[in-house]
Amino acid sequence: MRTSDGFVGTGALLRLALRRDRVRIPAWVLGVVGVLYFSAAAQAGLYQDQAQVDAYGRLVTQSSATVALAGPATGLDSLRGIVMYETYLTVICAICILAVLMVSRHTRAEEESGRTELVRATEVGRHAGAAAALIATGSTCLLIGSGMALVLPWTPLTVRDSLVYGAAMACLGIFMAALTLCLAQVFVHARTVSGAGLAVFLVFYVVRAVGDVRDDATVWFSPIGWAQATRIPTEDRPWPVLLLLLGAAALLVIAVRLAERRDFAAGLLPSRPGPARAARSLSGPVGLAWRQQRGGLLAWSVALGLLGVLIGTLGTSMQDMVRDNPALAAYLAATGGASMIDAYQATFTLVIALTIAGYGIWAAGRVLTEETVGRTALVCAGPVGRVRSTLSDLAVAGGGVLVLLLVAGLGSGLSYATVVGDTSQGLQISFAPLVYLPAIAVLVGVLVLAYGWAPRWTWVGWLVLAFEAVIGWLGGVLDLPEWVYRFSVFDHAPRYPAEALSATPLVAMTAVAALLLAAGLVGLRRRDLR
Amino acid sequence: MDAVIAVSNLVKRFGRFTALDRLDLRVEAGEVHGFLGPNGSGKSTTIKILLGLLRADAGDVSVLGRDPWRDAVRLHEHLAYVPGEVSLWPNLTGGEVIDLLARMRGGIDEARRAELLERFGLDPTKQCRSYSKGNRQKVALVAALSADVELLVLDEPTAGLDPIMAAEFQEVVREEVVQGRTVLLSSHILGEVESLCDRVSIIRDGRTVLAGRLRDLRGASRTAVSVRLARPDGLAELAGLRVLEEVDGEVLAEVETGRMSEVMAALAERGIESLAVHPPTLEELFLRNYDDPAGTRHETGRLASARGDQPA
Ligand SMILES: Nc1ncnc2c1ncn2[C@@H]1O[C@H](COP(=O)(O)OP(=O)(O)O)[C@@H](O)[C@H]1O
Ligand SMILES: [Mg+2]
Repeated sequence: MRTSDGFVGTGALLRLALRRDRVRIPAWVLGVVGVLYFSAAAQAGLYQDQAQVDAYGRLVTQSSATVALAGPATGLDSLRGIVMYETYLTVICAICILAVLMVSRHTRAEEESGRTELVRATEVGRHAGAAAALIATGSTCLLIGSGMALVLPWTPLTVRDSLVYGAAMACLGIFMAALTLCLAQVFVHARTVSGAGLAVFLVFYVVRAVGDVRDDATVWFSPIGWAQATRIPTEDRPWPVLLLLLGAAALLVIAVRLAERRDFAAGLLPSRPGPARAARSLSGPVGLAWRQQRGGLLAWSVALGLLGVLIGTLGTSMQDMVRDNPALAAYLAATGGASMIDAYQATFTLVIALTIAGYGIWAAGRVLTEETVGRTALVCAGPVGRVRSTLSDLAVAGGGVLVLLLVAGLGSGLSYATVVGDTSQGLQISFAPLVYLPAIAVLVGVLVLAYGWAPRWTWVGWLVLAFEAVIGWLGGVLDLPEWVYRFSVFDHAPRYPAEALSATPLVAMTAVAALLLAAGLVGLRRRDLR
Repeated sequence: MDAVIAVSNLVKRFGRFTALDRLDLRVEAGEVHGFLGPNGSGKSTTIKILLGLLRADAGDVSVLGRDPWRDAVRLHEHLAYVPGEVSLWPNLTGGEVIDLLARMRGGIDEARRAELLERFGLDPTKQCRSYSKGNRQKVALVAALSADVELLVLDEPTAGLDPIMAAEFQEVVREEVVQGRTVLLSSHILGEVESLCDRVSIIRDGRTVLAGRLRDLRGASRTAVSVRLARPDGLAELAGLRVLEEVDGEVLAEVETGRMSEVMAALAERGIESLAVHPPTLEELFLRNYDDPAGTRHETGRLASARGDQPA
């Protein structure tokens, strides 16, 4: 078969994909562009004069924490630079997550469900499905980019800034989509594909963070670094965007090559014969859930452990900075930020907790997948109740969250303690992420509540996480009414170690989580099982 | 003895769509009960209600003397199920799935497991993602058939099996019945139902249209005859006989239930040269109930007689 024949039918499949995502695509575009517009527009009100802008620049250039999170600290002598700096993280995360999830949804998830088989038996080429997925995802990214270009000129950014910013972000999304397409040829399950895609994204982010903090060429090893190499307010060079497009093209060639080497519904690696008998650990619903989740948990542990070590080590360099820079130390003391390290750790702990909450939602979301494909019915037709079956999945997911919180905390705490030689601070850092366990439990509780009463609405779990992420990252910038913050669960958790631990919110959150869980299970007991 | 499955006036709605509309089903202990109906008639829906996976909107349902919705877990200790669409965990092997499902129910008959794997020709070391539909079905069958239970609920279990495996399956089901098990077999394959089942229930649009002993159902239905007569005159006016066609003096006709001797006497008067009598096959019974899509021709008389001979 010629490669070009493989694309026959792409148009029809593209229409199908757009039809299926007719709510999702506008929701993503409006959500991302809207959040971006409001946070960018809000910047203008925060700085009255140039002196305040300069103060912001001074603070940021000294803080590797914000550099690690946001990007290169350039052009911070103007409001335009501050807008870029404050919004990078949001757009980059949103567009990359969108690209990964959407491609995996339209490729492997379809193939896994057997729907592709039906489609491919008609006059549709081997690559048509992948091409349609890529075009649908790429168009969504372009829509977001265009939306940015249209809307951002009404913020402190200029028209040209907005154009380059939008183009860079759209191309970054297209790059991630092409990358996910490659992953979809290698891995068999949609969940593995999206998990691997998100892990790669995390690695890219960390590589760029290291490069920006050290201010060296490491950034060029990460496509996120390329997108930010446009250095919009200062140098204004659009050419790194081309790098993203070239990279995407190269990845597409690889994806086509890989796809031609594999069979339908198979991965590249042939499936090996396994054990004829089940191990003793695989004897009940908990064993089953563990078996299904352990691979993903291992991958996430490695990624978050590394992230933790990175954060711990960066914290050290901050310590040095404060020591070497009496002016900064004086400034911090004067502004009441006596322990900048604590503030830094508290910020990063929140980021880690939000990431792990993502894992929690992802892992707990399994209960819906299992039910839709009919495996829950198989288990529940035996003497295992549906509540027990669901609780087993949730317990293993919860255990995974606990493990990840510990791994990330220990990664940063131990590396900090080793490098600085400050064991007590190291210990504090090690267990700081655990503070967020009740908050994550509440998020999972929302998911279970939806799953129990209206399984088609299980995705609100992700919506709540998106809300928490916006509040957590941009809450200080967005000039939102007070009551909005009260809805944020994470906002109620003490920002340990910057704030003292207090039991009341933690106990309250635990109680809310338990209530949500119980309510969800009540719904589950009353409804039909698919 | 109490019925193993007793369902009456079962109603199930999905939103505004009524999938089951006052359905009746009765399965006695120790029988193989055929559960027939065209696609979308509500067989799988009924079975999922029997398992307590779906909730009935109205009607009485009792399985092994229990209410499946309230008492699902304890009920499931005594039954095994093979779903119509078998979906397995792609990263487990077939052998692992069989063991897992068996252990969740408390144990497995090792000898039976090995024997069934052998007879179905199933390789237990393959990962489920590489199994075909038929092989996934075999995994579910081995798990269900090696369980020590009173009732087997099988939803179109041979839909993906090749003819040799389907024959092996029939053999295994007969052994299960000898062991004293009861089987509810939903199926499309009429030959299979004919050779396995004692009694059948035929449903249509969520309603039972025919139920009873296969033998009685045949007796209760019109019988086809083909006859060659010396003087084939006045056949059209003959009460109890409906002429379907006439080819070269060979008359194909249907004889109404209960008028066989009357019709035979009338035919004998016209000089029978040759005669063949065909009792209705299950296929004919089945098709007769479905050949009018609008459902206008309701043969209530026959229905009543078929229901009447159900043991109460
Ligand atoms: N979850 C559901 N939601 C809506 N309609 C359903 C659902 N499940 C089954 N149905 C409908 O109920 C009818 C009976 O389906 P089913 O019991 O699967 O039929 P069978 O097994 O006899 O082929 C079909 O028309 C089907 O479309
Ligand atoms: Mg069915």
